[in-house]
Amino acid sequence: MPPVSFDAPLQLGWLVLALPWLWWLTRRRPHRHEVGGLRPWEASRVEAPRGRRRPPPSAWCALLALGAAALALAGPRLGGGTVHVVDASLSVRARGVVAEPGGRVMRLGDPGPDGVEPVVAEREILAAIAAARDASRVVVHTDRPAPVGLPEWLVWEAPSPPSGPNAAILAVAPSGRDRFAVHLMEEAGRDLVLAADDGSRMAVTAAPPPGALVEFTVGPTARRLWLETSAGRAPDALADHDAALPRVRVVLAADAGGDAEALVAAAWPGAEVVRADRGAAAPFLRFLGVDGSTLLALDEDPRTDLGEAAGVAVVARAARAVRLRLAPARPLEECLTPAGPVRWPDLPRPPRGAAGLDRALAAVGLLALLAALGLRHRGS
Amino acid sequence: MRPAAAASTEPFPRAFFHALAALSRRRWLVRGGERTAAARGFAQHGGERRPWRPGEPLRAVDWRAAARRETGLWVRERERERGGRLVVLLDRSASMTPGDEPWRDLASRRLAFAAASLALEEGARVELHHQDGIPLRIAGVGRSARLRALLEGLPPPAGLGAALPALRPGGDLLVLTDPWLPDPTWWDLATLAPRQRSCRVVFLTLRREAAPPAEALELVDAEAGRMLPVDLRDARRARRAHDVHLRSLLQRAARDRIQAAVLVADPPAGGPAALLRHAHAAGVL
Repeated sequence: MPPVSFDAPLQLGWLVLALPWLWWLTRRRPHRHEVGGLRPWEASRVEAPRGRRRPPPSAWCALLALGAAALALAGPRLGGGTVHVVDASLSVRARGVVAEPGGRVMRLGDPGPDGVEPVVAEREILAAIAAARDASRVVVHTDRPAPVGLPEWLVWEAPSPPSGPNAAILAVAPSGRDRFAVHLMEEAGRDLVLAADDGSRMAVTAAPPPGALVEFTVGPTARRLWLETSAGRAPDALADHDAALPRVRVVLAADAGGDAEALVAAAWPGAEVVRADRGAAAPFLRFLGVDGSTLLALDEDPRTDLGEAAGVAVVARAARAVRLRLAPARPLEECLTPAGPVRWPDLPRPPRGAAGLDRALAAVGLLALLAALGLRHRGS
Repeated sequence: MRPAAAASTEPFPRAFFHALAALSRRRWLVRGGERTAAARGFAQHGGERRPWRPGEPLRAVDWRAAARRETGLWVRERERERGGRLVVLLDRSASMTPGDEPWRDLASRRLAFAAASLALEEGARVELHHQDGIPLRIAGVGRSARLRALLEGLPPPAGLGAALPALRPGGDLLVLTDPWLPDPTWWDLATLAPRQRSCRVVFLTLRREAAPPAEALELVDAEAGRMLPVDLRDARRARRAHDVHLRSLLQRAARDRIQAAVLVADPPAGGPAALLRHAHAAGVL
């Protein structure tokens, strides 16, 4: 049986009314009815009735009408159900307004295994909505401003007014051993502190958009950096203020040329470069993550076929791809506080199976009510 | 009529008097010319005078006329009463208001007032027996206010029905009651009826009796308080039993040469205007 969900489950509380009604209908003691005389009904005399009474058909019809009305008000949907997309990013957590709805929940912004907090903005929310295709209704809990023209099945729950001027880390690129070039943006001209998870800190005055590049030196164990205000708190802004530090280890083939280290240093300044064990079959160059996984590999030295200049460019492009994979650059337009209402592309319609049942139930309730009135009129 | 007026518990709302006036006009149109000629009789003093005859009571002497004429004693001729004598018997037993529903009591008081008013307009004398004290005896159109005051001030129906009063013969008897008249009362009525000029009985019914709730019930007799456990889930059967009872009452009345009618007392059929309309159609008014 397909799952049934309710748009307004609190409306089911009307069903509570049926309980006293049922009690009244099935109470033990027969109802007293005073009449002027008893003569016509002597033939209908019975022993004093025992047990509970059986409600008349009109009562069942009226109960059915009540039940159908309550269900219709609750807005049942067949299939799908409601999916809550919860923005739990730092900007929401900093205000203590992370939503905790029941039912199916998709949390965005929780730190990953590497401790890096993902960014939550329109792009991520859109991706979550797209992932919830089987839902008939999606409720987004975030501090992002609501886009205009939302479809009926998409509900935007903002716990507080949208954030103020934003501060963001737009991009992080290695610039030397334990040194990183950080592209910062700050809309309000506040004094900020750039911090890393190894305790490294640096006061910065970020330039207004499109921002400025600052050099930040961290310890060898640092994996993540973020922006704080001078009071040591996250800027009261969007959730774009932290980023992973792109760190790799490059393994060169044992038989790679002697200038291979210089080639890697040009593409990835400060990268740790090692040679593979001699004798083992190894690609020309491998980028390994901090956990040892291979991020990208070049089997052959590209300079052999392409020449020196083009070969260097290929390695540089590979290094850039790895860097963006580890620390994606965020477009400036996404980090700026929206000047006006956000417009989204046309969102896909909910699945056909998630059709509402409220109208059908309302019709059933109306028919049941008419039947109850008709039966009542006939005296049954 | 508006539903609010139909369901009014005021004994004599404005709609009632409008309906009564309309009914009165219709009766005048139908009976046009009936009341134009006076005839000699024994009821009222008329305009003609004649000499006193020996043996006549001195009470009959018109002393003013005798003083004016200086010769003999003169007597004012009496004219025949034109409208006869209407005797209204109001049932005031508790069965008139079962379950404290006022409609039957209201309908009986409204019908009593309507019948009496119309009779007074036609020159009749009216006797109203209401079991709650001295009967009211009035004549003349201007006395209907007294009748209204009495009907408005009647205490609520209570207790068992009283025995029928002793009535002078020759009247037009109108009994306003419910379909639960006890047998002894009916026997008295059947004895009384042949000595009256006419006898009409109106049985006022209520929906709570004609169509009781379709379930297992404890029916309670409003007068005696007797209880009867019944199973009325077969609503048609219950209605049929009530109809059979009414039919038996009407057959009994026909057998005893009593004109009987059944009127619904609940609004809207028992509302002030509709009640008079139905009563007129049934020949009660």
